[in-house]
Formats: sequence, structure tokens, C-alpha cells
Amino acid sequence: MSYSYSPTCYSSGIASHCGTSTRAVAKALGMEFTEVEGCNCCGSPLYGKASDLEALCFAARNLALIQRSGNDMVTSCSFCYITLNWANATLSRDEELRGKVSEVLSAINLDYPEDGVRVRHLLEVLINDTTCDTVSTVVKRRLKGLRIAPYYGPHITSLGYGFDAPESLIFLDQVIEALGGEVVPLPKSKTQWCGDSPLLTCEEERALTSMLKVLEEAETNGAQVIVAPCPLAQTNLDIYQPRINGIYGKGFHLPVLLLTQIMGVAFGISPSSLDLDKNVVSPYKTLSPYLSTWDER
Amino acid sequence: MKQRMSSPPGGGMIREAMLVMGGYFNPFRVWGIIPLWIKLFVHRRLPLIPTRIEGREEIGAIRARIKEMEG
Repeated sequence: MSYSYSPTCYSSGIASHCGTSTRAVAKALGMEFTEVEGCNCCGSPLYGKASDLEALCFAARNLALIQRSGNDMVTSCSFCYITLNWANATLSRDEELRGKVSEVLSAINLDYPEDGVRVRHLLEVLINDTTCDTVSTVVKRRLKGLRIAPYYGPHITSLGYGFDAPESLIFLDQVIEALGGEVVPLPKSKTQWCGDSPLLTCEEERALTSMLKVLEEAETNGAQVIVAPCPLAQTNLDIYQPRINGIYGKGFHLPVLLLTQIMGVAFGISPSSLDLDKNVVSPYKTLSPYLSTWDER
Repeated sequence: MKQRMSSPPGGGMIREAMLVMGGYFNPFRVWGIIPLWIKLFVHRRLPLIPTRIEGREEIGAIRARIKEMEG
């Protein structure tokens, strides 16, 4: 199947391993990604902080560019996912705002697509289009015995634009099972707040306490690895882990991987093509039985 | 915080490193965040060259048009 894909701020910056692993996994699954050039930040940092019009215009510019490709857009960033869906929903119900946004976009020779653009999360696409059966057939090295905690992060279901109800989040669990991994449930913290923008979180203490809960629950339940479908959630839990250890006197060493990284490992994709060395908490030791070429870094 | 609100910047994409410097400059916070910053740099996650999108001049044009409309 063909999809429009645009690298997000995070997957072309602080979470560049997200872009790399997403492309590698999509290729292995036969998903055709048409990269849309020129997409800007989706507007999420503005969301709720600056005027709605400004945030909507930046989101609408992306939607207008994506519409040209004629495909659904797929993103692995939960922030982009909710922001673009929020823009679609807001502009479809508010005619006045839609008129203003169209006026702004006309200044740069773009039209907001009247029916919006279908924006989909990679996780949802994996379940509904690709299907877990197909994922299973691509697996070269089943993750048998690997205890994986699925951490969805807070954004994927927020604002009502999520693809699943918070109480029945199972998509990630299903993919992990398709890879042969053992799901370690996080009933209390699977959608716990992750702190949002990794280096900018305004409420660092609250963010760290929140992440501590996820790590504690994962460790208590016996997880060896945490997997997140969102680059923000993964980045926060990964890069702040040493800081959490220092502040709270803990000794966590729980590798936190992106969904696409763990899928790539099961698909037999080389660690360098998944950018595993970019993870701050090294996953090499834990994943060594499953890696095709294990190069310790 | 102004810098954060005016994202996306001129290049069209958020650049965490610059946002920390420009928008959240607090000597104590920066001091605390240096080890993290080094770690990210070592892991090649803080690119020195910012990502610049195609058509980035449109970002400025959008802002200017909104300013005009909002008076």
C-alpha cells in the first residue's frame, strides 16, 4: 500500500532513529512511502499556547502539501498525529476558521483540502492495513522469551483523536505478540505523561516523577525492554533514565525502544539500519540473542 | 518561553538545541541539563546543522498574513 510520509521535527532531529527505523521497517513490510517534501513543524508547540489560527495554519500547510500526493498520511509521531487530526476536525466543523485559514494559505498559493486529509498513526496502519499476520510472516528472528512492556505514551489517545479507547489499548500488545515477544502489561502507566518536548519540559519535576512511575511499574512487572510507538515518549524515557536514577537513587537500566526498532530487530534488519546506537540506554546486551550482527558499542 | 511559542522557527522545524539556548535560558537549568546534552551529542542526537525545509520562506509569509488579519 502507498502512503504519504513526512519526517517530523523529532524524526529528523533529536529522534532521528525514528525516521531511520520507520523507513527500514516499512521497506521490509512492502509499504510504499512517498516522502512529502517541505512539511513544517505540525504546529504542536503552538497548540493551546498561541492563537488557534496560527497553529491551524501551520497544520493546514502540511495537510495541503500532503493532499497533492493523493495518499493517506502516515506518521509515527503521536504529537503530529493528534495535531493534524485536531486541525482536520476543527476546520471541518468551523466554517469561519476554515475561511481564515484558506485566506492565509492563499498567500502562499496553497489550498486547504476541503475534505481534509486522512492522517493515520503507523501503529494503526500496522494493525488495520498491514495486519499482524503479515508482520508475523516477515519476522526472521522471533523475540521468544523477551519480556516487553508496551508504553503507548500520553498523546496517542488524547483529545479524542486517538484510534482506540484508553481502556482498551491493545494494538501495541498485538504487534509485540506478532513478533513473538512476551507482553508485560503496564496497567497503571501505559498512557502516563512522558513530559512532552524532551529538552524543554516546563515542569521537569512532574515529568520525572511521571516517568519514574512507568519505569517502576515496568521493572516490578519484570520487563526487560520498554517499547513505545511515539518518538517523544521513547526519547523521554530513554534520555532521562540516568537523571531519574541520579535524583531518585534508582538503578534502572531498562532499554527503551521504538516500536519500529524492535520490529526491525525481529525482521533481522542490521542494528545500524535501526540506529540502535542512538539509544542512550544501550539495548545491545538485552537484545544480543536476537540481533543478527551484534556489535557492542 | 516566547521562543517556544513562536515555533516553528524560520527553518520550519523545531530544533531542540537552539530552543534550549534561546527560549529557556535559565543558568541553573542549563547547568543541570549539560550532562544530558553531552549524552545526546555523543549519541548523535543533537545535530549541529539545523534541518531546513523546502519552502521555508512560507513560514514567515504565514506569520505576516496572520499578523495583518489580526491587526
